Amino acid sequence: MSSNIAAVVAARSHSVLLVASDPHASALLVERMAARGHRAALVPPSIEAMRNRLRFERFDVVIFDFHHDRPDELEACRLARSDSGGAPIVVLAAPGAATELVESFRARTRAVDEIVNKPVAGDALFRLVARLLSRRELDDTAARYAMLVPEGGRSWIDSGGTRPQLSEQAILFTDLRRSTELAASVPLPEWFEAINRSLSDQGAIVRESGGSIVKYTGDGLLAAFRGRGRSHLALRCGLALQKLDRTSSYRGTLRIGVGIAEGLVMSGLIGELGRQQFDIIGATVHLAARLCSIANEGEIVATPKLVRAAAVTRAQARPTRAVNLRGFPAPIECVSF
Amino acid sequence: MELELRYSAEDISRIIEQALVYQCACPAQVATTLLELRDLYDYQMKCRADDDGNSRVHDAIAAAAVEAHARMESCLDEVLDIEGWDRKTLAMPAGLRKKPTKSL
Repeated sequence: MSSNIAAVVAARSHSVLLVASDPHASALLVERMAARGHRAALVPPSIEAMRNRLRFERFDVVIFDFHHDRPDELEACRLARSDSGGAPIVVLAAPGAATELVESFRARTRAVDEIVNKPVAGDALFRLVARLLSRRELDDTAARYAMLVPEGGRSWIDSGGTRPQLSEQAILFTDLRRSTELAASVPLPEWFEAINRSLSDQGAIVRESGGSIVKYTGDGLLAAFRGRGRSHLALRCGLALQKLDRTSSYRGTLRIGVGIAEGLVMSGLIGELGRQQFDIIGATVHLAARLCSIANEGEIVATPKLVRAAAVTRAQARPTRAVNLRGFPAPIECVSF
Repeated sequence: MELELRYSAEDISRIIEQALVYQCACPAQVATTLLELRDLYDYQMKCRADDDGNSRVHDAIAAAAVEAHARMESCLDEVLDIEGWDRKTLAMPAGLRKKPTKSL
C-alpha cells in the first residue's frame, strides 16, 4: 500500500505555503516549486497575513524560512499547526544557533515537523516534502480504513487480540421499525441519509453509555458492554435510545426497537482468511436479536436476569411475560420498557 | 593553540540564512564549513580535557582545524569582497539574489 501511495504522491501536484520574510529569495523557491508542478504561495511570517491565507486555502505542506535574529516569527509555525489542517511544517534554518532555537521551539510547541539546514543541497527539500506527503497520505488512508472498523474491532485489535475470546457481555441490538415499508416509499438518497443520521445518534449514545459498537446491521446496530456494571450500562443505554426515539427530529419516521440480553459470548475475527471481520457470537447474541425483533416502536425488551442485574430503579417496567422466540425450544421470559 | 574568530556565530548565521535554496549559496557553503571546523575544534578540546591518553592526536587535529579555519575565514573575506557583499550588514548583493544554480 505504501509504495502505491508514494507513487501517487510523487506524481500529484501539491500546494505549498512558503512563509518567508525575504520576498526575493522566496520568489525563487516559489518559481522552482511551480516548475515541478506544485502550486506555491508566499506569505510573510505575520500572524494576520497567515490567518487570512489559511482561512481560505488548504495547503499540503508549509515551509518556513527562519532567520535567527527574528525568533518571534516562529510563532507563525504555531498558527500554521492549528490552522493548516494537519499539513506538515518544515523549517529551514542555518546550522548552529538558529537550528538550536528552532529545536527548542519544536520541543516546546510541537509545531514543527522537520528542520532542514540552509543552504539546502540539491533537491533534498523536494525529497523531504515528497516523503512527508507520502507519510501524511498513508496516515489519512489508515484513518479512512480505521473508520471502516467498528469500535469493538478496534479495541480488540488495540488489545493485541489474535485469538477468539470468551467473556460475559451485555448485548444490545437496535433495529428500525417499518424499515422495509419506508425503504420502498422514500427516495433512496433520503433513506440513506436518514439511516445514517439515526445510526449516528444511536452510536453516540452507545459510546456515552460505555458500550462499543460491534457492527452496523443495515438499519440497526449491535453493541456490546463489558466489565462490571455491563447490564446497568446496557439498560441505561437502551433507555437513552428510547428517549432519543421519542424526542428526535425524525420522530414518527424512524422509530427503533431495542433488545438486550446478557451472558457468555465469544468475540474474534470471523470469515474467510484475509477478508475477516470482527464479530461476536453465542446464544446471548441470538437472544438479544430475537428480543429486538419482537420489540415494538420505541420499546425495549430485555431478559429479567439483565434487568435484575441492572438495578435501574427509575425505569418503569411492564410485567414479565413469556414469549416464544424462533430457535429457542421453550418460552423465554422477558421484560419490556 | 587558540581558534581565532573574525566572524562571530551571528555573522555566520546571517550569511547562511540568506542562501535559501536556489540562489547563490557559495559563501554560505564556506560559512557552513567554518561552523563545522569550529565544532571539530571544540570536540578535540573537550576530548583533550577528558585526558584519554591521546592528547597528541587531539592536538594534531585541533591544530589542523585552527589552520583550516583561518584559511577558510580568509577565503570568506575574499569571496564576500569579490561578490560585493555589504561588510557591515553582511547583506547579499541584490544581483546575487536571483541566481539559480545549475545543480538545481
